[in-house]
Amino acid sequence: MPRKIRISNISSLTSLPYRFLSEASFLDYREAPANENARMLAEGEVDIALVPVTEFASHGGYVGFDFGLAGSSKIDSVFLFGQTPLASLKSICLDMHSCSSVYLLRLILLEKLTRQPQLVRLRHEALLENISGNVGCLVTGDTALAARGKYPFEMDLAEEWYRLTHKPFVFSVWAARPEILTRELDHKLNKLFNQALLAGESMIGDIEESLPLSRLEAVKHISRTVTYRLDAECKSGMSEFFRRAHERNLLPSEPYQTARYGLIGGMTITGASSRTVDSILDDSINSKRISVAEACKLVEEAALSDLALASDIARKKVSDLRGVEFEIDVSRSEAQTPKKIKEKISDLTKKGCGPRLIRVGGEAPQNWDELIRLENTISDIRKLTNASIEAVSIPQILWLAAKTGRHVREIVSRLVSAGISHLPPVGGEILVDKIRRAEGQGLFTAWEWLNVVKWGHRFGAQAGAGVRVDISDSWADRFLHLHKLRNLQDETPGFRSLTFLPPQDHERQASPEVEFRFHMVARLFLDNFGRLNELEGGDRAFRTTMNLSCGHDSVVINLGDGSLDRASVAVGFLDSLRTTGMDIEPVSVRPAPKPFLN
Amino acid sequence: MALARFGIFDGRKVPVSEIPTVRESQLSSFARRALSQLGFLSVAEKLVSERPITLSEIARLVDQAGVPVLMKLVKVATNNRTNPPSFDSSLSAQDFYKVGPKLDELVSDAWCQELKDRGVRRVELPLSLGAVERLLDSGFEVDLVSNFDAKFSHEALVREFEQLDYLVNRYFGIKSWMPVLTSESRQYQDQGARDFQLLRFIAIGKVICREKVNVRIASPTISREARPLTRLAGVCEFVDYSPVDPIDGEIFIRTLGFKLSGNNTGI
Repeated sequence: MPRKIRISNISSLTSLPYRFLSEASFLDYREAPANENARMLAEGEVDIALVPVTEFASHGGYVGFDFGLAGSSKIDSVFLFGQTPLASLKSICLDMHSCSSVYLLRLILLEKLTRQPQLVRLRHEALLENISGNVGCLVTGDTALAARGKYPFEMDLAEEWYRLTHKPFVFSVWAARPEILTRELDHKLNKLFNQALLAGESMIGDIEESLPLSRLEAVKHISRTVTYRLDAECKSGMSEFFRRAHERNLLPSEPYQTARYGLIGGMTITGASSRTVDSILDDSINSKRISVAEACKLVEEAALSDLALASDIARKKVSDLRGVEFEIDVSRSEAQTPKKIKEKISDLTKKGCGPRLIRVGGEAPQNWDELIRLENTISDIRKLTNASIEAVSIPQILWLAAKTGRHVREIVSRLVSAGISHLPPVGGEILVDKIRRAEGQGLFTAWEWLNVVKWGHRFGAQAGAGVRVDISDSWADRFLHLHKLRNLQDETPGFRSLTFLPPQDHERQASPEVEFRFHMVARLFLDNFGRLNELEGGDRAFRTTMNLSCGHDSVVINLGDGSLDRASVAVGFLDSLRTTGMDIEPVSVRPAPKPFLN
Repeated sequence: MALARFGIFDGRKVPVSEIPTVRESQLSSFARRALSQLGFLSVAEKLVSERPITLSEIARLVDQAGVPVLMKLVKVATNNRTNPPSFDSSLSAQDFYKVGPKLDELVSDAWCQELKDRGVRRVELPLSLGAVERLLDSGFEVDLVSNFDAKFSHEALVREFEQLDYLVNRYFGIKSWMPVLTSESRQYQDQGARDFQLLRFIAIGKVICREKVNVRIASPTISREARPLTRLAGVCEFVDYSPVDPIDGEIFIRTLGFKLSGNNTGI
């Protein structure tokens, strides 16, 4: 018996007509929020999903079905609410899970305002209660439908888009992983989508009791306001949005594409990005965003010499100088005597190896009292130095939150207030849930890890992003991981750098050429990251040097306990690098960032 | 049937008469833009059109070209034929007779004649202009070796490459060029930096030699980590011996084509 096609609809009134798909026996139907659909589709947990149009563009490897959710001149379920007009809003709260509506809002703000309000992600339930004074709120879905007409300032984003362009706005599209499609399946699904649109209103009967608005209004919303079939007008609106978003460097320039089939066998021949390698490289050196599919195409098809040229240009746009960052490890007992740490820092600085990061070791706090003791220790060290301080990993924070029942936000806030200014990449080496679960790392999801980082960034701490270079991961998985980091960096730009983490097991280490390709394309993909770090050489010294010449801008040298012997070795290594003609200077220690939320 | 008047080149519709030849089209629009930003488009264009590069351009390659630029120039210089290097196992150190290292004393007309009389047809020696020219003029085939351990200054490096450029563009008898940086190098203490710099030197040499001369590398002089990338720097052949004496770090003149017993410091 053939496997059922796994398909996921968005759980909302607006997408209710598509619930008709649940009646098809060849489909394994489910519903989830739009961004969860995007995650499941990207990670292969479903085959077809209704995904935000921005995720369609960012991924770039899907095919569309010409069905989705669009607003011809308004949508009613995507609203910006406020007490004052747009120009007076200083902050706009966003739903934790909104995606294409956030990009549309960002584009509208960029096109209409010179001063950009701060955007803050919140839980869906907490959104409306935050509307006050000059704080607005972007609300989507059933909540938006129910809240219309209650605020002095209300902006239907689809309506605003129409005002700007006289075109419809497509919020979500039905997208598929091309490898699962055949001509026959495509035909069957299109027939089902058409039937779903005919059945649209009748589906309301099933959920009448939980409707966020009256039955009459719900019928009107489905039958008149929302556009489900993506006709030429909708596609033109989508192209216009992609074009403008690409110009503003918000999205890659992936065009919307439907499936094409081979003459023999009827299998889909639409796959990776249809753009040429040259045009993708051109975009990348012009600081334009590239999609996951484009990155995969580059890494697989571009000549290594072209990748090296592009990544070197991208690096030079960040900084012409390469930097070196020194780190030292301090045990918890050493941390009790801050004066000794100060002397050590002073000695290392005289040697030209002033540490940029102090990593305080020891056990993670097991309860609230231990957290307070750690705060006091960190606070004492903070008084002595401006260097970044790192002491607790993200998995440890999540574990402590689960154990104490406290919110992650509270724990992160306390740690940052005490003086911790850096969160290490531990636990976030590959932010793809299907891999994490398969490897037994499923204690927390990628989203939970990123959520801790987000709070760290919002409180003023920085974080180190990491990516492992393990032969078992696919290119799509690696760039999906980087896509998540890039998205978070867009919203809370607190990642200081990306570090490539070689596997402990030599057997799992990629060949030098594969590794270089990944590093170079990562440089092009992460257009919003300041630094790409290379860990100091050892037996990887050649790779370190090559990476520094092709896209990386800094090398991180861990001085261990900070002994002067170790510093001498590091200085020798740097001198060797300089003899090859590389300018490489210590990254200056900047004052620790001040938290802006308490 | 009518002939096409237009074609597609570089993503644009252009008159057929303006479509460049295959060789010219090697530089894609991206490569042109990138090389232009990095300041080496003119060198790439000369390589494409097989024109010589100037001495000042050689100096700029030594001084300013990063590995990305050099990899691209090698690709252009070799017409995209950067095949994996072969391993020349036909020769080993025993196949050569060491007669060096004092070049100027040894390479005289009489010495050349003596080699000829003994059936020698091929000589491997450091890149010393006078000695190499004398051997080439005498009809020998020559394998050149550049020992960069001894080239401490920018000027010395540039001079070495200038001489290489002069010789490969003037003589046909040069069979190969082999750059060397040994683990005893005083300049490049770190293995990673040494491999990296050797790759740069190989690539600069390849841009100069193009396809006229084989670029060789001695396996013992480069780490296992760096070997896979030598293809991109233009290495054609690996050999498993090093022309550098491991004790005093000097390169010997070695001759191929006859074997003699006895000492290895002179004929």
